[in-house]
Amino acid sequence: MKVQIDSERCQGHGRCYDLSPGLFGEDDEGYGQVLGDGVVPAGAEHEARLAAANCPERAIQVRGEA
Amino acid sequence: MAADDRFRPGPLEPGDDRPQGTRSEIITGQVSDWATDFSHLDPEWAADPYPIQDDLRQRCPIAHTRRFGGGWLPTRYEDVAAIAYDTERFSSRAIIVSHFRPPRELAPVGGSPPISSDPPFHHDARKLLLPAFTRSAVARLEPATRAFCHSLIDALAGQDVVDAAQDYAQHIPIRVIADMLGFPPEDGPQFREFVEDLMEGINLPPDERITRVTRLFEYLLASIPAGAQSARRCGTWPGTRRTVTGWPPNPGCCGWQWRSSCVPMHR
Repeated sequence: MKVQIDSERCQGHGRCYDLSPGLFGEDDEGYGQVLGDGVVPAGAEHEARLAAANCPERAIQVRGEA
Repeated sequence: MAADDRFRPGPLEPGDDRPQGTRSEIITGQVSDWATDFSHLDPEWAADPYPIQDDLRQRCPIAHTRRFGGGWLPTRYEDVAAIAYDTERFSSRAIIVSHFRPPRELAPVGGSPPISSDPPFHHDARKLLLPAFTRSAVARLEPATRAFCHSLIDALAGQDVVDAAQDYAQHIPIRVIADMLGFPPEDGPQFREFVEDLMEGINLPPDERITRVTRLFEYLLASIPAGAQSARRCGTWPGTRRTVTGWPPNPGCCGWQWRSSCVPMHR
């Protein structure tokens, strides 16, 4: 499973890095960014889905859902 | 264009031919039926809106009112989401439900950016504000905010009954916002009045509404030149002692925002 942020859509609400700090961080301007290569470690699938479901801009994609 | 000129208080100069909005008839009185006559100013709504919303979801998921120049109230998640994401067909320019309807031409900025803004302007307006609200920027506000909260609680000592909203909570955002903008803490009570004027004065006669709202704008317009100059000089907001990335913003953009947000207020 992998997470990705569509930077065109992201408006910096900060829900992703607040709810799922293991997968997301913020850049200098306050926009969300994926930590590392975005591969979701085993056991963090819920965190990934939580971030995606809470993004008000629907900017987070979760790929490779089992 | 000189900075002081952009933030000059007072009505727009004569000859400004930007499109005017429309004012609607003020309809007051108790709500007769929430499905056909809703009002967010009704005391019943203020006391507890959730049973009203539950009822509407069952029998009329998109309610209507003739008040405020006519309006619709979607209450189901699916409808709210569909409308919010369809920025081609729905504009945020009249998102403040009052007796003034900004003209179509005011989009995409709207009267109160960024909440009244549509894409693509909305993105730019938020970008301007975001650096002040990053996690690290907000973390820097935490010690002073905690200290203020403690001082509020300490001041409650000896009272048998405390209204948590009135005596505690309402003071916090006002103080933090004033601190972030570099306004003196002793102006706090004035801010409380500004907020009341903006949020609760919707049904006042137009002249009184304009007089009250103008007080906030005069205060802000008088404060901005000093803040902007000081920020340019030392790279900080006055009173904050820290650098605000991205300030001052693009002068053209900021000036347009301020002037356009004055349009509904001064007419």
